[in-house]
Amino acid sequence: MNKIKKKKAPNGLKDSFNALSSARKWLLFGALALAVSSTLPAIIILFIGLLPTITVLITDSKNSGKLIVIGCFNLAGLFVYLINVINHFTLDGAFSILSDAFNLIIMLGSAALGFIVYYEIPNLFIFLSKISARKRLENIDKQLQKIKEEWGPEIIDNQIN
Amino acid sequence: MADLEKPQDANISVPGKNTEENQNKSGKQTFLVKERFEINFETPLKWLNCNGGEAYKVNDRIDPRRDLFALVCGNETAPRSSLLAYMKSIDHPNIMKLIEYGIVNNPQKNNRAVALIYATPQGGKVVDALEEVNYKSNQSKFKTVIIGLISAAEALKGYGITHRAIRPDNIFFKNKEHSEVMVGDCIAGFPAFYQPPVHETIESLMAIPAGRGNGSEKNDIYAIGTTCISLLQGKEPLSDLSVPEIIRLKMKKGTYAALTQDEKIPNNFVNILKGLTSDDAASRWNFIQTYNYMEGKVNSFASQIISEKPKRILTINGEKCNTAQEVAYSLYMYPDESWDLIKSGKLLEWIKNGLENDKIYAEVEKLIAQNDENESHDILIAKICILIDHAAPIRLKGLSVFPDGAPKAIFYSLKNQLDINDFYDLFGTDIIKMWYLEQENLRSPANASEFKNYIMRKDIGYGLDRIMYDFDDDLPCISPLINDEYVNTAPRILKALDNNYSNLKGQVLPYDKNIIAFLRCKLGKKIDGILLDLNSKKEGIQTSAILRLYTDMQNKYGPVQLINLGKWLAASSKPIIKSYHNLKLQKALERELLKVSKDGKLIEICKVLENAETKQKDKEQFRAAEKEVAVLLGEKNRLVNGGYKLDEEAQELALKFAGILAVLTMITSFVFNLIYWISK
Repeated sequence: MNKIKKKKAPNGLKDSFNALSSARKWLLFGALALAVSSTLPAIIILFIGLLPTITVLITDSKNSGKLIVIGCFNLAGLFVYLINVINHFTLDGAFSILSDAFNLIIMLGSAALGFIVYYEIPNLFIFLSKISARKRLENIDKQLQKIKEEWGPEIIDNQIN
Repeated sequence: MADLEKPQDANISVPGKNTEENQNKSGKQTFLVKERFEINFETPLKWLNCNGGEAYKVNDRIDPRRDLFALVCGNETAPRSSLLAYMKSIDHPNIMKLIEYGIVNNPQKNNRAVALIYATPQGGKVVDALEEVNYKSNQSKFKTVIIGLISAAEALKGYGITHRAIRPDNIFFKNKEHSEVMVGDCIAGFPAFYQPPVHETIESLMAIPAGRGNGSEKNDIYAIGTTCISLLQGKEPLSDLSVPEIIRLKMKKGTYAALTQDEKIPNNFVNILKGLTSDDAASRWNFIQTYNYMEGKVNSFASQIISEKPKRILTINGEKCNTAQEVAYSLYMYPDESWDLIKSGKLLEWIKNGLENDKIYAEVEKLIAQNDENESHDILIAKICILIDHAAPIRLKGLSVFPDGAPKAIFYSLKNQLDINDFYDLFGTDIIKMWYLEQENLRSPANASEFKNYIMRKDIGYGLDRIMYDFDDDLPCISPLINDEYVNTAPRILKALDNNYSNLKGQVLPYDKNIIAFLRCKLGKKIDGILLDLNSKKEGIQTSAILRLYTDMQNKYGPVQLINLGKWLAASSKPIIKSYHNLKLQKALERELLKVSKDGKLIEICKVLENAETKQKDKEQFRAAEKEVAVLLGEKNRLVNGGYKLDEEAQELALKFAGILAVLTMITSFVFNLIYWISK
């Protein structure tokens, strides 16, 4: 047991990175630079298009529900342009997409829709729940009235008291 | 119904069955007893009135030549109904023959009463012919009178009956020749209730008239002696004196001396009359002694035991008392002075030095030592009186009764709305037990131990009413609910209630404590379950119990129709109807009850109200409804009071829904764009 306790738990990506030798670090950095330079048009689109999601990630990182709803809606709006940039996989292609305000509205608007869904769906549900409760109450009162007529008011009064 | 098998119950005719009201040919109002004896209420025979009863002419439909009369019992007391069957079977030349009896409507008093059909004495009353027969000079006839009366009393003793109504005006000549006498009625009223004080023994006189009890043949012998003295004198002696005065006089002088005074009694009869009227019951002559004397045989024992009077006298309230009897009587009459005597020790001193009875001294000393000074002294005085004079009745506060006369005394008090509190003291203590222990020839009734229990319990079916009916079979039910109906058997209760329904105004239940006590005594232990229900203090259970009891009784004894009682029970059945939970069922039962109650068959009412299946179904459905109400109320409570929680639940659900919607939207968008890209 003690041996198990003494074992150090992994300290995440940072520790793993520090544990690497400098050669490996340079190698990793080079690989990353290569990957970024080769997918730059898509990364630009993703970075600009996912700005609302990135903002939520930074400002409200613990609210996973909010992140999922806004992120998913944001991505749904972004997929059109990601497919588009794959077809014209150049920086010009990426910038031409971003230079069109309509495209930005679609990308960021989908995130806005996510915001609306996240904040308004609960209100809608509460509203519907209240209507449902009111109807159930009416129904219960009718049932109680019927029982009262058949068995007398004591059957209810006795239980209330 | 064990009680129905008793002779008195089986033989009391049920009106409508054996008796009927009708109009005879001349239009006179008559009443038939056993479909044979026609009582003509318009022809009273006042000279035959006796023991509270009124005499009327009777026509025998089968043998119209018979000269009969009916003695219709009064309602001040009650007839000795337990003796009716025996008296009817007695055929003795010196006892007026009881031919028949039945319960009749008395149009004169507008009540129902027992009618006793007797053969009319042909020679009239002895007292009406005293001048003619002149017993003083006609001693052989007088001898016949004594033998006749003694013979009658002896015959009655053979049946275990005491007459207790032997007096000059109740003695008749059997025939017109006036050769033979017979004693008249003895069952129309309480024993000795109507006896003039002169014909009662000192002990019996000390008791209130209703509480004198059946006594013994010694009482009848005494009455024969005093009656004979009256007949010889041709007048009623001491008729101008009050009862206490007669008691004092008899105690001071002795009965014979008190009654004869200056009157001369023929020598032949002095001894026998002294013997018959002896104040000491033990030395009073018995039947054999009397016959022997009349036949001229010598009795082997002394004619009168001369009792020694105590050497010392005791003065109570200024009266000098010689004998134990006088002392006991005065102790009871003057309780305050008695207490002073007890406290000062003078009474004990008198018992020791005057009465010279160490046993009584020890017992009285023990009683005084055990007595709590804070309690009423009446019970102590009553007990001391019993110890000093055990032959006397129990005397407690305003009450003076023999134990076997106590039920009749209660009956009389209840009927005349007199104070009955003293009876509670009497039965609530061990005085009765003590009285019986002091008697040489009497044994306490087997169920006397129940007295205290009955008095202590305030429940329906117990109390004084229960004692009254349990210890005296003669007594009819005196519930106000049956008014003046004569009811001495359980089956008659139903008909009496049915008849009296119209007279009762207001909402009255068809039973009371008195009726239930009466029925418990007549029907026995099998209605103990009903008593339990009646004492449950729940109206529904009580009404249900009485309905079941009356239905059972109607099924067993009839009558077939009890329309008024049916209506009465139906009107009183609301608590039973309310015991059902379903309101619709209650209304349906009410409608059904209205229909069936008109038929007068209680079983139909019982079937409607006491249907076990309906009851069970109602119960089960009610339980189910209760459960449903609990669930609904719980839900309502949750909906009304749980608004914040509900909103939270709705919010949680909404977030889940939004998450799923977002993921689905993303997947849909991805798939569509992928398809578009591939197809391009």
